[in-house]
Amino acid sequence: MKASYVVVMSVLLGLLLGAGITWARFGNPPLSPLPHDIEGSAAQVAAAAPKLWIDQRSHDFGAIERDIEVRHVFHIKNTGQGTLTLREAGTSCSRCTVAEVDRTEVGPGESANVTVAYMPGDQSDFRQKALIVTNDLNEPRIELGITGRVTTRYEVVPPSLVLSKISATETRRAEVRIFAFFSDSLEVVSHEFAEAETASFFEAKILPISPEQLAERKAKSGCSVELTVKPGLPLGPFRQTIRLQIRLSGTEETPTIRVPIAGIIDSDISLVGSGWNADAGRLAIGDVKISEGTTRRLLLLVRGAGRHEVTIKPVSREPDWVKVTVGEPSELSSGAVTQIPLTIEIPPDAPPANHLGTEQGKYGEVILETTHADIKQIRMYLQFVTVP
Amino acid sequence: MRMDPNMTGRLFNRLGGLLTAVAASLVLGCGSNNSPATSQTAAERTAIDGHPTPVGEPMFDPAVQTVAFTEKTARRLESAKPKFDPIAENGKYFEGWPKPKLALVISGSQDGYLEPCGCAGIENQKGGLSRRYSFIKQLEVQGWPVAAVDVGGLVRRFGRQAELQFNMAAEALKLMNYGAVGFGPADLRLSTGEVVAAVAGEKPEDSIFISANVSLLDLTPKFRIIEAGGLKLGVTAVLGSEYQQQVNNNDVTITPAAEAIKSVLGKLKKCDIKILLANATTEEARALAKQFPEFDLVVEAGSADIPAAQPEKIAGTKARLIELGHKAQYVIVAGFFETRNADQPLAVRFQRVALDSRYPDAKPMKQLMANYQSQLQQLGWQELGAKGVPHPRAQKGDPLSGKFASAASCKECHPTAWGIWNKTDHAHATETLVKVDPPRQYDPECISCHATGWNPSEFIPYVSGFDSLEKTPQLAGNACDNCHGPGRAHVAAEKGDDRAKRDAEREALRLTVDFARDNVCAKCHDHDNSPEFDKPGKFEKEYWPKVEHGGE
Repeated sequence: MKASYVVVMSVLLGLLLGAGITWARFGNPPLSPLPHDIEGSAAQVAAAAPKLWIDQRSHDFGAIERDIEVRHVFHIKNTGQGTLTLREAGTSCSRCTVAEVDRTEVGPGESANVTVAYMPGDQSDFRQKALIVTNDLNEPRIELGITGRVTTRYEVVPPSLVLSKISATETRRAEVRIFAFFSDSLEVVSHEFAEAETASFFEAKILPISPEQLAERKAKSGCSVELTVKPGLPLGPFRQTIRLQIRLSGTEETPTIRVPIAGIIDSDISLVGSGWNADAGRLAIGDVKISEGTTRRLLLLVRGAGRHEVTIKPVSREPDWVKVTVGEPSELSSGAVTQIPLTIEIPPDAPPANHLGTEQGKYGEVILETTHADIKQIRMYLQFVTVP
Repeated sequence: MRMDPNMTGRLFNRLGGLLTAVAASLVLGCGSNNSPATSQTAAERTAIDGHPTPVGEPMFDPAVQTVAFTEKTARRLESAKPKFDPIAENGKYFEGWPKPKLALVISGSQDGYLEPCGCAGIENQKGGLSRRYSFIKQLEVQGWPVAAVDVGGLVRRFGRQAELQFNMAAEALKLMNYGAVGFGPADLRLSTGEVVAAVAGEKPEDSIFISANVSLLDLTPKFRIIEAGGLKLGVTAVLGSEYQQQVNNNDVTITPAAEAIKSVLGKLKKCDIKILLANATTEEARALAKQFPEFDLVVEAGSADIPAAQPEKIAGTKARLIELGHKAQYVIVAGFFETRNADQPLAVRFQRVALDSRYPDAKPMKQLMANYQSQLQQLGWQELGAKGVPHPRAQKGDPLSGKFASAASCKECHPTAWGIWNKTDHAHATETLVKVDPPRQYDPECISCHATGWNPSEFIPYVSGFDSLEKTPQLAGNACDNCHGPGRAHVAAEKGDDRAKRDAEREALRLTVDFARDNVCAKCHDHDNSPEFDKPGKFEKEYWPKVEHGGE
């Protein structure tokens, strides 16, 4: 036999063998269940098939207590003729929900139980699911759902306080309520502010809570904590924590509740509006068609006790053909802020100009003078370029 | 019978040739294995098999890849794991659905989760703006008319980073052509200027952010009418009374929800579908649905983790109560179909969609994320409010207590433990943030678990904790101090003469496996970032063996 034939045959044989091994390992997808089979054999297949029956697909635990595990058993029966296989295939929360199948093969007429256990944590309303995979072609995967509401011995509402935009000269108040669900009385034994450096700017007053507020929360007892932030904190963000030690009747416990408080002490005057970058003090206007011009509307917000007396006027404009209009002040419906409309106009037929803040042209600029005791001037950079 | 030696020789030669050819062809026929290990470049292989870090040199040298060992092992382990199949896990969607007249995508309660974290394998996790974008685009590409609404709750935290998250999320919703978005309580706690800048266009009345009972600087539109698929959707939004208590902001005016809805309802009269986005508890949303039976859909924000597969029918009304779950891991799609029934011209079907890994990342969202990370970098820790706080172990009068030492300091006395740690993912945790696209090492929410010396639940550094790869390279990675506690006082005590102090410091840093599992590991291996961690047996069989070490 010629050597060349041997080589060719060997190569072909090797290729065939190799391809076969690869296909067997990777290229053979699992067969999907046949939806509709050939006449005659379908009936035969159905006759020997398992059939899953389940008593319910979801269970509501109602109100449950935190850190106490609850369980529910779902009952499954095989009403078919073949053996039903069951396999637990994960839950929606591996941390808090576990499902266990007590038998993985269920003969015709036999039953099995799936126990779903839930450990309540920080959640209030919860919904979790457990997935069970079966060989019943009509029910290849079933979701068992559990729902409920977690209650605790006591609850703090809200659990943390955020006080937005406090003016440096403003006194701000906020309220935290503590509700007890199993005790007839709740008492705040002591309280303190954890951050010693700024504690002197905070005050807390313990007040009773109304029966209506208790009923709304379905609580047996509670109290209100009125927090006051006094003027004088430095500008910028602040953090504080109030620690409240409480006593609940009917128990020996005197737990300590920590309520984080966060906020920002801000300047009495701020600008808001589309395109305004407060960090950079810059209004992004962009390309302005010379034939059309453009207008940007901003709002000056004035806070603090003396806000009604504050007036604003433009004193400098660069380029000087930019128009600046200060509107009439009005009070926001919150009753604590005065807003003053401010309009910046690039008029039509303005000359070509580049104020993009690049080498070709520095930013435009508007300076406003104010009658505020501490904030005498507001500087705004304008970023724009006029185009034909 | 003896064979002719010549023939024997020829026979052996041919057999040898045959076997060689078959073997070579077998290899060709099997094709290439696509595992990353075999598709590495030569440069990568060199780096991977590169040199161990010399003694005395900084732990992390960006020029030298010391990841190798762990990465190789990890890849081998990864390739051995069965591949996650999101469709098998979460099921197929829209089975049996004809093309609807309109597909309404309903979302909400994002709570600052711009994307799934990815630490535990992003393919296993759900949610994220990128996948949502891809999902909506897929519906559009298959020719479905699409509209989208959101009940609000874009962020959860407070401060500058939350403002930037809000900004990014608002941009993303605009790119996805959302028609109406409500406000959650955390959104309204942010700096008004930032929120207004994000929500208001040049004309505030055109803003997609609406509310009937919340007014931001008296600028917020109270409703919107969205036209899509030949239908008119009348949408309004409210913030529920319980959630109102979380807002303490003088720039925001809030009125009772029911009164506000009454004033708006007349404007929605001629709409085909009326929708109430109620950022409220389930009970309050249900009560509003009963009080205002004009609404077809009432979307609420108080539901459990996972929304119901099918919305609840509110008794006595035609309304459906739509739950969304948490962290925007799911969206609900309401498909509207024309009927021949003049009394009921539209029918509706619902599909709960898990935003899982079958939906790829989207370029526009990736660009937004890159911009966001760039902003975080430019602002820096101080501007982001990530100011160093004293560690709980810091004591007055002891300047070294509560201060971090670095793994290099530990190595001197604990070389074996250090050597084990150095081969784990913990040692290269900061590196993983640098390598991801876009890099995340300037993000407090990421660095707090990916470097040494940060509080992982509050996303702020401790005094003497990691600052940057440039200033504090010795604190890169998730090192000894993070689990055992700040070790500088211990290092000093070992070198001193005070035996009692030395013993006390040693005791303070001692850590048992049980204590670690229950109190330390879970601070970073929490449900968001490590959903498998708490599964029975996982810690003992999978996690602990990777880092197990004693005190040597």
